Amino acid sequence: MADNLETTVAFWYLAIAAVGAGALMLVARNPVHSAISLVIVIFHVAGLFVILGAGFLAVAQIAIYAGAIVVLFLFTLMMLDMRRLPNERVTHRQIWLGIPLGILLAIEGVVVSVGTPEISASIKGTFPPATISELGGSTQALAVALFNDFTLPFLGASVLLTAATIGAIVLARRVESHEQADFPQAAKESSPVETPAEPSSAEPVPEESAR
Amino acid sequence: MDFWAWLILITKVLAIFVLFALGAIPLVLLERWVLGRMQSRYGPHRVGWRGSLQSAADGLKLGIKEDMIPEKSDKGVYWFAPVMMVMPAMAAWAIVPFGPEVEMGRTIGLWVADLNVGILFFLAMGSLGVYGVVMSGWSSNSKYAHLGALRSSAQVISYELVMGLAVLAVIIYAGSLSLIDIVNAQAGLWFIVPQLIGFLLFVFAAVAETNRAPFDLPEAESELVAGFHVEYSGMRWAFFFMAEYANMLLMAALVATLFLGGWRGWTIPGLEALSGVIWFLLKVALFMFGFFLLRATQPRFRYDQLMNFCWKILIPIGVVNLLIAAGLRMAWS
Repeated sequence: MADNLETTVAFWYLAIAAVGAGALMLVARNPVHSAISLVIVIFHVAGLFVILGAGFLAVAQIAIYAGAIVVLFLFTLMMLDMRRLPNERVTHRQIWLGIPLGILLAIEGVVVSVGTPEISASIKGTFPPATISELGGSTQALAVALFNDFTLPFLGASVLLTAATIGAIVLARRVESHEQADFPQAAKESSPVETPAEPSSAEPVPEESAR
Repeated sequence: MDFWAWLILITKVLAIFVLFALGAIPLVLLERWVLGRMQSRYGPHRVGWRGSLQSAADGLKLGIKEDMIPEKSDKGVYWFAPVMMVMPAMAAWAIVPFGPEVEMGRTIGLWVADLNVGILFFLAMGSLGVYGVVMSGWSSNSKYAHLGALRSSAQVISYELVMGLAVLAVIIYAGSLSLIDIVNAQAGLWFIVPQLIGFLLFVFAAVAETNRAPFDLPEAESELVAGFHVEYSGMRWAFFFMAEYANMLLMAALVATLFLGGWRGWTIPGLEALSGVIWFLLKVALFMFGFFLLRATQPRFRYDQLMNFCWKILIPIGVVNLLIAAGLRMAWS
């Protein structure tokens, strides 16, 4: 599939644009610019998936990552109104872990790209193109993998994510202000001593109900 | 692909582009006429025959208006936001089937692309549409625009789930993600009959996703002036307008395709070749009229009502509806 002109041109455009936008995301001082660059990366990587014949993966990537996750990032950034990062050094102690890991990843990348024929011959995967076309498309192949071969891990991951969501809700919810949201008068009367900073504790109420 | 295949493809893309660029002009005029009649006033009636050139004149005015950029705006993002608004709205049109295959020397399908992930592509493009709103609202450096963008991003992510649930129920019935297959699966029975709940969910979500009344909180003119596009003027503002009408048309086309059998209908005698397209356009027109009707008759929701309606009413109904649809499908096969 990779040997006609259109795919080659498309691949190089997508690859260069994705890497360029990724670099832009890292160097941008403005967090909103970083988030927008991340969307551009996601979009171009989705294009690479299309070249590989994985249409479902491409569309899911755009719908989930660009359509839900990064929108949520942007939403948070706008709520906090972060215009610029403070102009201080951002190199922390993680750098001593980051540099060796980065070098390791670079070596891995070189090994994979130089030794491509042998390695790609050894990792064919469960679904080579012939099997996929036999099943009727990449969507069907993914469904077979998720719901037949890996049902138990898939269900396990679902339960884990549900538990994480419930945990996040429990952690984020403030019990006192929630009671006040429903019955501001009753909460005040029942605990007259415990709410000295009343205006500030009552303030988040409209915001919370808006969400 | 040979020369003719390329030519046909380019013609289709240009047709979509022209529809997008000029579609807003008659639609705005129709909307203003309908609203005028419903509110016991004339509506546009000065320019041309009974005001029929009014929106063309408005378009001309926008074209020659000064393009203002606020001093403290984020120039790059401000410039790019209208593009981001228009691009997904146009891209999603690629998968809409306007009619069945026709014979003109060779077999031509009246759609740009029959993707095997068609309906998911529409959902993905719909979720990209919110970026135009968010970027314009954030970059304008204005309170009203900022609030509009915040509201829009929360609203669109929430109602996307409702839309996804409604679409999933249809996919379960049709057994395919391709819109052509979905239309063909409705040969016997339109999906509005077994999926009335899904249809209603989809209509609610469609109105909310296009930021139209009564869910037009992001641009509520009584509180936010115009919301996310308050700082825009001239052609840039016209881009937002065009994108809104293109999205409305897209939603109407999707409702027709998913629930009303797309191009299916009785063959009209004398117009056999065109009857599919005529049926499709009639169904789209019905829903565009529905959009106008909603705007004329329904008061705007309050923001917390809007979110509660989505998360506490529509999404639970959508999940139960999906489970029932899946159960029925299992029982049949």
